Amino acid sequence: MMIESPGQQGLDDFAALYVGHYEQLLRLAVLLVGDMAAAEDVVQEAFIRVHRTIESRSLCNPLAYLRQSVVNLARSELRRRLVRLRHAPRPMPDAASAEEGAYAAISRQEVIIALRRIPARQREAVVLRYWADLPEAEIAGLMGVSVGAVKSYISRGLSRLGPLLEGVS
Amino acid sequence: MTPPPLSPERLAELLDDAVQHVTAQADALDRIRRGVRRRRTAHRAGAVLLAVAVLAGGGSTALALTSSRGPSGLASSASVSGEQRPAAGRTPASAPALSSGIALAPVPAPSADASSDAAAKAAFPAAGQTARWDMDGDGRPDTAAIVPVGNAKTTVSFQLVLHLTRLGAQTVPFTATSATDMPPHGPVIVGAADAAHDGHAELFVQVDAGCCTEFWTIFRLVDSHVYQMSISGQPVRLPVGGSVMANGGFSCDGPDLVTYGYQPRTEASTFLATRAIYRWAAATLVLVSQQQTTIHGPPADPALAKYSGVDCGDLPQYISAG
Repeated sequence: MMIESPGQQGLDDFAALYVGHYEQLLRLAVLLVGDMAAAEDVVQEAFIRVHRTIESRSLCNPLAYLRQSVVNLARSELRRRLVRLRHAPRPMPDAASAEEGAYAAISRQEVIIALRRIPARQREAVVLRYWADLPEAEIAGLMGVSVGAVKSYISRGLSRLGPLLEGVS
Repeated sequence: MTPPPLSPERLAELLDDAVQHVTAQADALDRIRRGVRRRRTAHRAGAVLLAVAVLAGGGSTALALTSSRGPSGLASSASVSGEQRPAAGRTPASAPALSSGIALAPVPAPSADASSDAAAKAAFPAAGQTARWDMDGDGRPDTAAIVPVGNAKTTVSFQLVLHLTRLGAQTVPFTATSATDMPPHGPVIVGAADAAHDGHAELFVQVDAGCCTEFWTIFRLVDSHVYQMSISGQPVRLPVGGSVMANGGFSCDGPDLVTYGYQPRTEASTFLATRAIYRWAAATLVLVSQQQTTIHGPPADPALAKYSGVDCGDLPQYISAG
């Protein structure tokens, strides 16, 4: 798919891109960042960036661009979360986050929890390989590492996830 | 005993199961479109800002965004662009649009001199539109901006830089967990209102934001000095906005600040709603009373509506994200 820019055709293509891929990218982001609210932020920001890009030039492979943005933004989100954890004050006594209840279900899933417990690079490689079903070369491009490194991340990720997911039905 | 290795097929199956129920919210495309529109506006405003900054010859790295419609602003490093916040009825979408961006001016860094002070004042909206910013109570508009401390992309340390017409420059350090490399690009001045009904405007600053909920803190003038308000020794973090499943807000009710919110309980169609009353006491909010109610009904139940939204002077009103 190629999105031409600008014009109505480009906007129609953008809508088609959203319809065709938003949900899958949201799921990818959930697996990478481990919670729904942050995943929505990440994917919506990625779509906004694509839209802004096609306003100025054509995009040959918008899906690849989106995927790359989601992976990059997910990394930023995880970095940001670490900073938050280090510095966050205690919440007010009567004020739980409004999202806590709504999104608690997904955070409690064993698979999501297990993914959170392996290094970020291994998680990216495993999710892109076994959930997004991307070839190793494409994953290498997305992650900005060599194919050999991707193979290594996948192998280590599988080894670490094995015991963590043992007994999960 | 060593567990059997995890097969790729089994892992693929588990990953699929983990996210198969994840679906897009109905208004996700609208949010993206709103985000694009706001980004476009910000881009144009950024160009104007840059031109103004260059013409003013300001060496400062801090920029203030001030609204000509209401009390709101953002300061950030020059490389970060702000976006426009609707005046009212804003749906707190995750799209990074969190500040009113109309007039822009270089704002002096904490160690500002008189010339940069003049530059900041020159670009502030007309007096009639900024009366609500009167923090020091002299009837003249005051200015405020936020300056990151340290690495602008990763820092959680910021300074609120105020120029009060009666009391001069003041700087208040505070912590915000909104990193600047992700929306909303650091803390944002949401607006000001005389929430304590004492003739001085309190300043509300968003210090964190998720998909649907924002967290606001409050700065207040007490005995000629501006402080960040606290509750039980911790900086105030008011949850604002949310979705139909969980929401929060507050109102300025006479001498009190009333916070409220609801969130789902584990039982279906059951929500726990909370209302708490705080009394303003210098730089502290003191809990006077707190009430919790269980509400049975669908997420759209009108009984839940009174536990959401902001009702405080000219601060933005919040509606549910749906």
